[in-house]
Amino acid sequence: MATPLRPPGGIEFEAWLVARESALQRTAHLLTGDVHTAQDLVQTTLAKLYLRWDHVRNADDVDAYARKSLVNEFRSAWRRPVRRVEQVVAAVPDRPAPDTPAYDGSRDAVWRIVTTLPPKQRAVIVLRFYEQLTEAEIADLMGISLGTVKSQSSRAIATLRASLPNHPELSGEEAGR
Amino acid sequence: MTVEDLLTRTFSEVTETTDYPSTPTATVVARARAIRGARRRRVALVAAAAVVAVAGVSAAVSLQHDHDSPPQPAGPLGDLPQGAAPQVDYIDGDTFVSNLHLRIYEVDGQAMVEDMGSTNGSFHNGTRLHGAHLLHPGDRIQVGYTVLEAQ
Repeated sequence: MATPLRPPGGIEFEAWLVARESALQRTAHLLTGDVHTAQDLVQTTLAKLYLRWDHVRNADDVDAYARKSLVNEFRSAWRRPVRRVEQVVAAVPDRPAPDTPAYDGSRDAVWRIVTTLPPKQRAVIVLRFYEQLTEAEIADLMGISLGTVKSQSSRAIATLRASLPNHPELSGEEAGR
Repeated sequence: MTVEDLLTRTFSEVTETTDYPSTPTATVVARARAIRGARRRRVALVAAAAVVAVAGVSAAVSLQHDHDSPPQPAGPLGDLPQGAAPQVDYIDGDTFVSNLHLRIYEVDGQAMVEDMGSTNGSFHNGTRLHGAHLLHPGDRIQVGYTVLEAQ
């Protein structure tokens, strides 16, 4: 019971952390819609990876393993009832300043709508259009059916299209889709 | 431009214009320690419940996980040692625990543990339980994800 907490692959974990943490943080930011919540999510995921590093380091694709852990952690976080409380609090602190100046109007509008989507839809479109995973890969990663991936994705896209009727860059062909 | 293209562009622009502070390894280790501590406390709590059950003379322990159904006593009273009133404990929130999983009882001053034909089995010091076994202090019984320690 009293085994000391030591890094099984100490150097290796640190090297991986330095190289890949920002990728996890970017995905977590898009999943949660908020930098602070994302940081918390990433840290919990990293801690759990650290505890299992002996196993994780032998995985075929450590990055894919980490991404799956992150999404699973996100999924269990949104299921927890306390999440609602946490989210309300998380929305109150200052948004990071760097966001503000570089944002142009259209991106801000799209991003705002994305953050209001249900978590499952958001997860699917982030994995699809940011991580560039295939629908089959997303189904496997999230443990849901291919049909659910398609329906969640098309719902999210329908919501966006309906919310941006006059977006200057959305071409007319959209109407026929 | 399609909505899909717009999403791809928005996602990359949002992430490219945000600064993400890196997490020091020490922070990861501290959080890992907290998570492991919380897991151990959970096991210790369940173990404490088992200790109470084993220490209570002629105790029978039933373990069940179904949140929706009310707790059920462990088997027919006739199965219990003579004259014993059943004491029933429960493990909640574990998918691999059967409604009637195992019982711990006393025969001639010796604590015994017996698997009641559970679906996923019980493990006594790492070996799958078949029938009744003597239970010694320090023995570990695993039921689903939960480890009970006899004292």
